[in-house]
Amino acid sequence: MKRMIICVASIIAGAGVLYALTGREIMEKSDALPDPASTESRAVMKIYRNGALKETKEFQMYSKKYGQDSRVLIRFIRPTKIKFLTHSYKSREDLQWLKTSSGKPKKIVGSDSGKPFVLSHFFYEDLKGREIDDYNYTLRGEESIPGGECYKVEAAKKSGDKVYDRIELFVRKSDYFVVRVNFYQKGKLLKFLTNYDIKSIDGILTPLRMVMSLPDGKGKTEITVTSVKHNIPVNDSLFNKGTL
Amino acid sequence: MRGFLFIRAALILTLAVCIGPPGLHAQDTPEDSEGIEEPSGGDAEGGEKEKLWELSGYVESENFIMFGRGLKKSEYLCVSGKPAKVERNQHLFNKVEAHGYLDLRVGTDTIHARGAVHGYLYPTGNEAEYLKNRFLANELYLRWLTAHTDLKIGTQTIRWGTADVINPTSYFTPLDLREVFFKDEDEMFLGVHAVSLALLFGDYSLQLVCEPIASATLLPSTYSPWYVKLSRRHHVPLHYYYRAPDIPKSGANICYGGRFSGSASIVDFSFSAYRGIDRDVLLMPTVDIRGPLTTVYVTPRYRNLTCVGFDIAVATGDITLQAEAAYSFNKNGVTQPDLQRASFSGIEPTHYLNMAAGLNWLIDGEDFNVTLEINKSMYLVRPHRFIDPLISDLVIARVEKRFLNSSLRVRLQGMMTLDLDFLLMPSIGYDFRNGLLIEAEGGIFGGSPETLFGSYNSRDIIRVRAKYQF
Repeated sequence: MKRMIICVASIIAGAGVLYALTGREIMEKSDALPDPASTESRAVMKIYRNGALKETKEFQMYSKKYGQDSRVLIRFIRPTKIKFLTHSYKSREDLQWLKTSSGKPKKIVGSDSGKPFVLSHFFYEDLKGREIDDYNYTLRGEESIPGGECYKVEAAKKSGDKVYDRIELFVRKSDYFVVRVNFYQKGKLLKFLTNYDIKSIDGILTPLRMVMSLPDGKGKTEITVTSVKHNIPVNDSLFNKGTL
Repeated sequence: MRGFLFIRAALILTLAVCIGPPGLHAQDTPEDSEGIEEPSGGDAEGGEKEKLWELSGYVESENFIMFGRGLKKSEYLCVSGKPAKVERNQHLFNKVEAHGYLDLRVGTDTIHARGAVHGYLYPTGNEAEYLKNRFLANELYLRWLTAHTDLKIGTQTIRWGTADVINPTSYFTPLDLREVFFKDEDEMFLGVHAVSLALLFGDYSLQLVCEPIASATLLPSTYSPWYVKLSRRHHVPLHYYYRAPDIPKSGANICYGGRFSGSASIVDFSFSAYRGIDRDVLLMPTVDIRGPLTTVYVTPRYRNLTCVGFDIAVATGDITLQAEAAYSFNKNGVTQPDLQRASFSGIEPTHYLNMAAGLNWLIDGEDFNVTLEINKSMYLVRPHRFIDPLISDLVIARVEKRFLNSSLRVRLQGMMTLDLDFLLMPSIGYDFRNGLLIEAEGGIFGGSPETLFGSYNSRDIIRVRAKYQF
């Protein structure tokens, strides 16, 4: 009888393993969440260092998809007026232009992926789109964090430039939205991103506050969205370098 | 398949480089974000087209301290044959300037008005009397942006070209050279009264501009410390005398032009054409025999020209390369005087080419970068008897390094000609990251007195300023 119980338990456990999601499958589900065809938003970025607010920036952002490519215009409004225009392509390097309030549009080279974006704790690497196939995924278990019950998935880049050794993603079980990301560099936790105030806006899951923090608590960058609209008509002319 | 994997949130809201299959479906509202903080306020809902109301600007105090050796009596200006001493070095601060700038946009992203106005105030009793209290509007226009057009009507700066410092194809934009190179970009490039229509087609655009009333480049006034000091030639005293621009009148002062530009992979390019006032000022010698001494005055003259040009920029690796050139078949030049034959200078049209090439090299992102540029302008007819263009054979280099989280900026900028005269501009600035910036910059001239920069070699300065942006 005892042997039979063990056998049934083994079958049930086996079935459980059989139907458990892999890290890759979890990320595929996350990746399948709807993305906006276009976005218009406004946000405030606050940069803290050594516990003190050092800088506040305000910016507007417009983005639009063009098939598999996309175009993004970021207009920094305060304290300095700067416009960044990026044309992102699936099959080749991104193109970027910069215009200061007093200058003319200038073609610029793509910034170093491991460099801070406008002196924040975000790196350019963090803001890039990624091919799901460029990474290997391993499910590292489940964890309950302030964002909810999550799958913990480790991702390691297969090849190419590696800004981070590995990344841990906390994917919420309820909707497969990534609510936290741990970034590791040289074997140590470098920083972590937490998404707050996640709302469905125009059918798109959107966090209204994002905080990239250093583990020692000495620095963080907080982006608070003050307005956002998805899937709205966005003028194509905004993404032409001639109108910067 | 490509998409947001790691920080979907940041991507949606910042760069939003979400590349996914087209035809997305809005999903049902998910369960509430359990355990996550409530919205922190702000209008995060979709709605009406957002109204645009942006006000920004800065206030600054800019001071010049001139520490050159001063002028010799022979270098005094002459007016009607009588020396008129240029008052200098009587005050520690040769210029004390309070400067404010306001930039206002009102309307929507599609239709808006923009006004960008500089205001200058000079306390009395210093040598800044060559600059008067004034307002200057470089941008004051209405703009209508549609999917395929961009229309601007009003005062606007129209800057074409890819080079960093001197743009041969920036035909429309006059310069404010009243303080030579000691001006910021937003002050040096003047607005013009124009109608500009850009037709936009994907990565290409065609911009057509009409400027009904021409504006001219501004040169230092006669009594300014920055007056153009010219070398003595042919043993006749040569003196610079500023007078108001003699812009061609009665219909001949309409400027118009067009520029077709596009992007192909890593290359930006454009072709342009222009007819209108020449942004380069002609310095015309004229003889004055009214005084006890026969004196030759050099006065600015303005003439029209027709130009065609192109520019190109290529971004590759850490370097952006840029080049541009403009050709004119009727550029006016000043002919050399032949005093032995009692023949004075004249103005004649000729073939002319102006070129610039350079690069920006980001050695360590924005924290360490190098800029190089070479400019060459020439009359194409050989032999010719024109006085050489005032600005040519110019090499410009700038090295900038930032420290302390990019707050401390150290920069060395230099300009040199083939005559080995130079202007060196070392600078150090600190950005407090709260809008406040303090900066000190030197202006050191060197070279033979007969050369462009060497002629200023008694006018070295230190420029000190504090600026608050809001």
